[in-house]
Amino acid sequence: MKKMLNPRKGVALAMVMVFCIAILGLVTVLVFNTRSHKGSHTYQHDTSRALMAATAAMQLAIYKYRVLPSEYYKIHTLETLKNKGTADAAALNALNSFKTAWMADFQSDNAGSPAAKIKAEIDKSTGGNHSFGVEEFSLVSKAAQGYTRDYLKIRAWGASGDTRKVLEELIEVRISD
Amino acid sequence: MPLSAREKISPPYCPSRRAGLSLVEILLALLILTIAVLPAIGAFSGYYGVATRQMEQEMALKLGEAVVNVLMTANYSELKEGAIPALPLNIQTPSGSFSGTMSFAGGYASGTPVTIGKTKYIIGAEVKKIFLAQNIGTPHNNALEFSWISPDAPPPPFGGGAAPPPPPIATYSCFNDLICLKVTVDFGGAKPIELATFRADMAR
Repeated sequence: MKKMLNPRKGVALAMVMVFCIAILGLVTVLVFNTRSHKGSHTYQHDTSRALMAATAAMQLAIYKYRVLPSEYYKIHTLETLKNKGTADAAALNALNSFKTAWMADFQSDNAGSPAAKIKAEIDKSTGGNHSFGVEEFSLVSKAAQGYTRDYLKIRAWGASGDTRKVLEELIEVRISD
Repeated sequence: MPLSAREKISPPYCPSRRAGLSLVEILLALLILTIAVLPAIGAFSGYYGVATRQMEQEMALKLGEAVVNVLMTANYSELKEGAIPALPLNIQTPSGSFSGTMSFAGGYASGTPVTIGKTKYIIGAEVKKIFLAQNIGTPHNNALEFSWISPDAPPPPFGGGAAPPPPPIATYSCFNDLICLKVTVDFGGAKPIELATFRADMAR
């Protein structure tokens, strides 16, 4: 008779162990989940900072256009020739050089550029590591089919840490004939 | 053979002394459960803390961005000189619409504290000139200087022969003070939110 009772020994302990393993599993999931949430703190902060850096690039690009419009129109004229297919090799070379020089001021990685000085100030203010630049700076002319006005199309980007944000604006401009 | 009273009541395969759990078993089970549940409680409380902090930080970031947007649209001339007496702040929060002011004292500003739930958000701002307007009379190196390649053809080399020099890089010194905006939102977290951007004078 005693031998028949043996299989019931320690059932309660075994059940408790099963519960404990389940609870510890839950705890593990929670701990890992909490860790990933801690990472999203930094991500959110970096996203906002990247957006601010992109805004800085956008402001700089618009301002340069406002103070030096005729210098940009020279680039635009060459670009129009290129799009029409009437630009010769010299004009294409000139376009590349002018455009590179025009865009260089907006890239925070270019030492000595206005963007680099702004980046240094932003980094100092916030203790972060920002970078920004302008990817596209073009004039959407009303001469092109489908447009009734002239627009400046600027696509700026900003980055903080590993997060990068892109900001695109279409600004109406008036070109005097 | 007649059965005794005890044998009649209890079946032979399940004696009454094994019908329940022993005190030692229950105590052991409780001990093990306690050991397992304690870290679970700790993890839940940690998770709750992280979630709360994340919510607070998100709110602080939204407030910071909203204040930057307000500063980006404020009157530029007054802003750069710190001459704005009070800038209205109208911000939509989960607790409803918040109306306050940013009070300036020189290049620094402090906003009306925003309370959302149990958290108090203290907003601060700083306006700093990072580029100074160029002065023709007394030129300086702190002006914003743009560069571009002059499309004007360089003069031909004297006497001919040598290749013409590359197109010259022209520069232009700007005649505006240009500013950097910094917004700080302190919400009692370990580190306040700090956002900074650049604003140019678009008046011209």
